[in-house]
Amino acid sequence: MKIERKKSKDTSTLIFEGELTIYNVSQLKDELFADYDKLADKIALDLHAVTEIDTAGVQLLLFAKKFFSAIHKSVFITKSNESVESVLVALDVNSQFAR
Amino acid sequence: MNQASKQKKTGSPEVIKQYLTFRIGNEHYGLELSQTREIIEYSGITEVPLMPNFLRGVINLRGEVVPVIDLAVRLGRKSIEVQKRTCIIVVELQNNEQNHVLGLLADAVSEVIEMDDENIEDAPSFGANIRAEFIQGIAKREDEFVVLLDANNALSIRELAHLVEAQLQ
Amino acid sequence: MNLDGALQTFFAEAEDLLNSMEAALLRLDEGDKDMETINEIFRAAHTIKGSAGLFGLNDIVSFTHIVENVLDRARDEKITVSGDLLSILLPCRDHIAVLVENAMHERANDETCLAQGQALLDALKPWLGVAAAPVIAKQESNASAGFFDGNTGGSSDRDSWHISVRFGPDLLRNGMDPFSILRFLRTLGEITHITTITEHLPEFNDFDPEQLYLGFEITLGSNASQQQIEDAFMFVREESSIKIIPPRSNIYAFVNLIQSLPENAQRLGEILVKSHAITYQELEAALATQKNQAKALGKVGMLGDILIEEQAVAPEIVNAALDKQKKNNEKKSSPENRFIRVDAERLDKLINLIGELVINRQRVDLLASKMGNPTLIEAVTSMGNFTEAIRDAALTLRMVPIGDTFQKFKRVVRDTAKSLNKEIELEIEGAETELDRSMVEKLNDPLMHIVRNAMDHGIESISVRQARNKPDSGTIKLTARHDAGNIVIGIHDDGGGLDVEKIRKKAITNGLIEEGVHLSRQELFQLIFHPGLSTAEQVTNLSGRGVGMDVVKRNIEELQGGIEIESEMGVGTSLSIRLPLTLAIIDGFHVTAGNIDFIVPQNTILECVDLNSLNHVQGQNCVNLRGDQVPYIRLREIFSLQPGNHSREKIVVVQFGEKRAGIVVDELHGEIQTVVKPMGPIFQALKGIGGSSLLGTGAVALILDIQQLISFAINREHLRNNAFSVNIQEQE
Repeated sequence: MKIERKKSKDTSTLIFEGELTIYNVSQLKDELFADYDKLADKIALDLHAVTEIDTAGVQLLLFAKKFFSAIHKSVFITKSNESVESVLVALDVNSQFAR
Repeated sequence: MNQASKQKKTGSPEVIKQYLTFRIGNEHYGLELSQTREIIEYSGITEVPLMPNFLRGVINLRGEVVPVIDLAVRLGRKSIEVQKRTCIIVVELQNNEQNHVLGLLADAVSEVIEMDDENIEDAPSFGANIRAEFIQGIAKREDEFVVLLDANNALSIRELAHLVEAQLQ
Repeated sequence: MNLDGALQTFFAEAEDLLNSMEAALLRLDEGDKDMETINEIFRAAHTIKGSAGLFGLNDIVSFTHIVENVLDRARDEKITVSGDLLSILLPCRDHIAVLVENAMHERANDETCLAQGQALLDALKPWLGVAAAPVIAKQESNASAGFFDGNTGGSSDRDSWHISVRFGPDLLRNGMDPFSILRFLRTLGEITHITTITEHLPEFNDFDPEQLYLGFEITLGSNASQQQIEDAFMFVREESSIKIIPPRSNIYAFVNLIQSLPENAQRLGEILVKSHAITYQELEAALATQKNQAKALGKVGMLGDILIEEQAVAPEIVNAALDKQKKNNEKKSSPENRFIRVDAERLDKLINLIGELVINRQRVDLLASKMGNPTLIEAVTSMGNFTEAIRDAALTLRMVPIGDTFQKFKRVVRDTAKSLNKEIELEIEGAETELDRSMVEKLNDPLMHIVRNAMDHGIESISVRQARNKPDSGTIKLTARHDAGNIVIGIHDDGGGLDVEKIRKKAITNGLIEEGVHLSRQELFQLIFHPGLSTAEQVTNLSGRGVGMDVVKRNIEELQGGIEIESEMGVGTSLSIRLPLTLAIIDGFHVTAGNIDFIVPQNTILECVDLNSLNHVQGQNCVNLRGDQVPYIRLREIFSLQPGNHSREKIVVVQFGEKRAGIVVDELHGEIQTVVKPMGPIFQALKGIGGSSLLGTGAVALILDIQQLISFAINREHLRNNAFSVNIQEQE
């Protein structure tokens, strides 16, 4: 699992690739928030390459949303896939990541 | 020696088996140690009426009522006379997936021996004066022979029950 | 945290449900038109389906689903459950039982089984209406399907369960994913709303991504029981806080929920409003009032009271809600919920231990009386009373009403009567009479045989009945009652009765008795239990399944019981089976004969007398007891024991059935409570001794089986052509 960062104008895109589960959330947290002050005000999450997500993964995304909102950065999902989408829908948190 | 199983085990289990040996009259017998549970002193046996001679009665083994067999009679010998060293060997046999506990009367318990399969000879087809299927093999110890019994045959619950039934008819 | 345990519970529950389903179906068959009966059947099917889904038992789910659909239509009165449908629903119930059975033994359902299922489903088609797509139990496939099915219609949201969960922090680390719980819940019904509670996500430095901070507010539309819903949380129950509000609970429940949760009340209220659990107005009013009240009183008032005072809810609604709650409460105290399931093995262990306690108590008794210390004796006596009370209480734990056993015969009688082209009704009396569970199990086969026999040979065909001026429909009556420590079970039929002469002739032909021998009616009747008397004429594929009445008698005797027959030609036959209530512990009388300790079961004893104080009948083993001749057995003789001193012998007068006899012993020791220990298979052939028991001293005593002992004596006397049997007969 890794997070690739891309920046264009006012938007930073974080591209997640691989598993987003309890087994790597700690590592992902470090990666996600490393040098977060360098991120743009709009943070786009690209989740289309996420192969598996569990409650720990969702929680990490929710935490990111809450954390960045507090420092006036907006977080939204720009790309997703069916399995990620179904989990977010099942927990009814998908709307929180709307653009 | 109260707990035969306290004897330590050595050697590889495939080849070497442990036997509990005991004496009835002047003859020495052995039972696979794994089939024996404990040895208790002879005391307070309750006679059950109308039973054949080999069935000496029942005892209370910590709340369990256990039949006691006179092995000597079963093997075609003279009935055991109770003396100071007379004891009861408690054996546990498997039959139809059920465990059966029996007490065996013996004149005295000797020791636990370890026998290599190689040192055990097949039961002789005659001469031992005991039904061949009761014998697992004969072991030679120093200058005496130990008859290793096949407990499942010699103490077959089904056969014992048949003998009781026959006696009652 | 044991899924295996939960699965076992499912199997046990399914068995109960299938039984009540069968009983209800049979009630319908008898003309019961009560909607509640159909509801009961529906609920049983529904619950089985739901639970089976939880455990991924797909064959059960998909089959039961269709059955449930048909039942649902019956519930909506779109179809009526009548003869045709019933004769499919009964086998459907049986098929579910087979599927459950297979699952229990982890057997795959073979093709024959599945084909049978399909055939039944095909037969159900006419009652299914149009749309009844078979469900395939939804298994936790990699979360591909959305969790909302879209269809929220049908039930208003107050009809849903509300579940509030705050998970324990270590859940994720322990390898648990709350998401799997949602999957479970979904097998029970439909999650119509869910709110993920994120309030507890901490500040950046405190955030440990492996710790769980989330909670859920869930609205679940489901017919599942509270237990089933709780079971979904089985693995997380201990560390998490779970609150479940049943459907149609009143607003108090929600208000209490809001108050008990750590989050902001306004936010929680909004969640509840969003999930349509409560309306915004109700919430607004309740919260506002609470605030004012709190200001005024300086504390938070009880919201429920406030709601009524302020008319935030119309009183009638509150009252209706209260009524509902009351009804719910009543339901809760209905029998199903008052029971707890206990592994029968644990119960047996407890009863065995109590048996040991009883024995030890006797030992203490013995020691105390030896020491002769009055204070000690007093203390031991009072301890003895408690021991007895404990024993009695423990034994009642294993007591079950015989009604369940009787109930099974409704089905047997219904099916068999049909196949015999007879009309037979089964009446049940004394269903509440209790006896030991272990006895019930062993009673099944003999009862089955007797009832089949009565239907086959007892009840006449309709034409014969008409010729005899009897009602077309024959009656078989099963009765049970307690009688002096025994249970007496009766099987009565109003059929043709036993032909004594025919029995006698057959017995003579078969060499059982000799011509010219006088036998009482009862003795002639008893001949039907003789293995030699089951003639080809009697054997049909119904009752002649290779088991004769001799086996019935043997089974009953193994239970220390006896069986008597009364019959009148053309009027009917009655069999009565007399059994002890339990085989585990008996009250006995301790005696010795020839140095052996014996126990005589107390319930057989009439009195104990010095043998020498009675007049002997000349030349016979028989005494004159207040004018009656009572034959006796000398234990020392019948058991070939050591000879002893005759001068001090005692006679124990016993009663068995209608007869009396004496048992002559050397010494009487007194009453004793005793635990019955089986003697084991070796002693099976020994008649007259029913088991063994331990005395206070640790010695083994033999328990006499009076009935067997006396037939044993009669047999032996028959050989010697002695007085005993003759005297026994003369008494009748």
